[in-house]
Amino acid sequence: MTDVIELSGLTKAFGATVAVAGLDLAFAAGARHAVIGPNGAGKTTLLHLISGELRPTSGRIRYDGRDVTRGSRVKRSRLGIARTFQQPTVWSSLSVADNVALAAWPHTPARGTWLRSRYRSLAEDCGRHLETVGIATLAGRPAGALSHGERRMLDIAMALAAEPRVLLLDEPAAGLTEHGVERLLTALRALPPEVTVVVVEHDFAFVSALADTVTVLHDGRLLATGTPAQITADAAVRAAYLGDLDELGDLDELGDLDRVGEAGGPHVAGEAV
Amino acid sequence: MTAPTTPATPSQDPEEASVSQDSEVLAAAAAPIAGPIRSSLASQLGQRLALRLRLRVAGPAVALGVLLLGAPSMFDDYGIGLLSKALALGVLAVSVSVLAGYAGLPTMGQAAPFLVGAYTAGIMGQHGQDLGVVQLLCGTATGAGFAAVTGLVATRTRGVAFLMTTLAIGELAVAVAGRWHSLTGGTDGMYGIPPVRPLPGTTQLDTDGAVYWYVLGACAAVVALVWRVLRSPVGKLLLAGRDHEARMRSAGHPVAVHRWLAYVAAGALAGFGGVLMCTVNAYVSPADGGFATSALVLLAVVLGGATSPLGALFGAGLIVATRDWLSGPFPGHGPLLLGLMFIVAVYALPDGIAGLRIRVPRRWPGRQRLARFRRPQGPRRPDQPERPERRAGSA
Repeated sequence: MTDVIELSGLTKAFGATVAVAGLDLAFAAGARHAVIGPNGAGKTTLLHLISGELRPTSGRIRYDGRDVTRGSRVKRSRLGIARTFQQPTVWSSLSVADNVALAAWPHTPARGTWLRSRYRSLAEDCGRHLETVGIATLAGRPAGALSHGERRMLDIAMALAAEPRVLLLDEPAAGLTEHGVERLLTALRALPPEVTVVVVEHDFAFVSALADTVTVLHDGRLLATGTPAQITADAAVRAAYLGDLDELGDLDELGDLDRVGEAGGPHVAGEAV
Repeated sequence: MTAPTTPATPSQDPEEASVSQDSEVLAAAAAPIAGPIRSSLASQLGQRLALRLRLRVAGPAVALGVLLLGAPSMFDDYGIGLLSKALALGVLAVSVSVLAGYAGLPTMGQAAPFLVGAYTAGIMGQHGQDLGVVQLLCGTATGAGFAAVTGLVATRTRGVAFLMTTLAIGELAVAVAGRWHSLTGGTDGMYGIPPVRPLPGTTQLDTDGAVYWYVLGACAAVVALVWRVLRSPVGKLLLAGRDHEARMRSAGHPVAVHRWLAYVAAGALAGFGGVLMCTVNAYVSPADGGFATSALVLLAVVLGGATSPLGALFGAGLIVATRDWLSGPFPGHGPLLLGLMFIVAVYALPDGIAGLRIRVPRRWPGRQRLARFRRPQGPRRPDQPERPERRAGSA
């Protein structure tokens, strides 16, 4: 397999804090590649750098053989790099259907989308992305009125609507119910095999269910890369990140806590809006 | 349609129920215009749109329509003149509402392209070009041109920086207008602008009433156009850019270009308003485009509800009425009355005049949860057969 994204010497410093320190990493085309690591390991910063939200302090990013280090976010999005956010971000004053249609807009081959009729057919076409993530019944609802879990699903549907070649997911399973996680896994497995998925996630069960390659980051540096089985067996990873089996248990509990939070989510969201 | 719709929530939520009925009526009525609705998704979109249409339009539109059409028989010449002035300012207010409400760019310098448009009309009038349509087109073009240049600087900034940049642009425009004697007549203003002929073959507008109908017609046409554009996907692009700019960029939308285009379009609108103002006053001076005008118009938009063009028009009318008409019995106290009105408005109408109707249900704590269960479940299904056009469309 060829590498669709190659990072060489990638560094990002915020003042004295170095979030990503001289990272050399490649993502193979069609890979399901997970990036894990303790809090503050630089995972989200890495996604920001790849997608173009942040400019690196030094180092290069190559996408599909071309150097995109200085390319803007808009340009990289148009080249096929889509992403979701740690805090699901949607356009809250528009309806769910409008959110997905607007996300698909720059990537659709259809022209003249600013015309009502063309836009309407685009919105109808995007209904399938809402069905994929299981929120088709909410199409007419304002996105600002969604619960946290629904909003995350919408964020993912918006990324899917861009028909990306590289999909960057920032903690997609956080705050989802067990049912939601299953649906998410089904949706991601249904992606065309040539799409590269890079997922940052804490939940190791989710990672091993999805990923064929796992990279462990620690303090902005590469600690290990391998299959999920190799990573769980790796002594260095255990020492630095997973600690011992007790702490692995703690990690799972953390994931459960997230789900408890989600159960109360709709009410909180409903009152906040 | 009524019986099957109401059982779920009639006692808890009468306001909501009546709203949803009306929205369905509107959605059904809109169906033949909008073309066949092809899927349930589209019908849901239609319902949403109809609901918003009713909430946002009905109140201000009816009040405004009655007032504007009945005005010539209700007011004297002075009142009619004030109303014409309010309409011209209203177009400026609409341009500010496009920028502030849709593009998320509250501006303090929108009077500058307004002034450019007014001078364009004044100069054309002095040089014998008294055709209203031509003046309007040229004023719109110069306003757009002015905004296209200044927008290159202004739309790079956000928030307070944008406010300050546009303020500077506005003040610079006033200063230039005051100094450029040969073109503008300087601070003395531009006199002797002849009345316009609206279209080729018509006579000059020599009465206040005739000017009023001309201004009202032009104003209605341009506001209808703005309305239509903002209701189209273009309005959604702007709203999304306002809601979350980073997400727009992430989705691949060139937000900077959208903002610049919105700024240019708003400049064109302001120029249009300026031409109308020149027609009403038959006089242009730098003071017409000063800080006071920009600030008043921004307040008119706040008063009217930022995302409602009609609300902005209404707000402009209220301001002119308060400043120039209501203050008649209290000479010299116009600013005081304005200040009082704003204090009352900010406390009593947080969403502006256009937000009056939706404010009450929105405050109700149970509303979101009820709305959550109302739409996807039960009550929608049984009434489907009563709307065959929708069912046939989705097959």
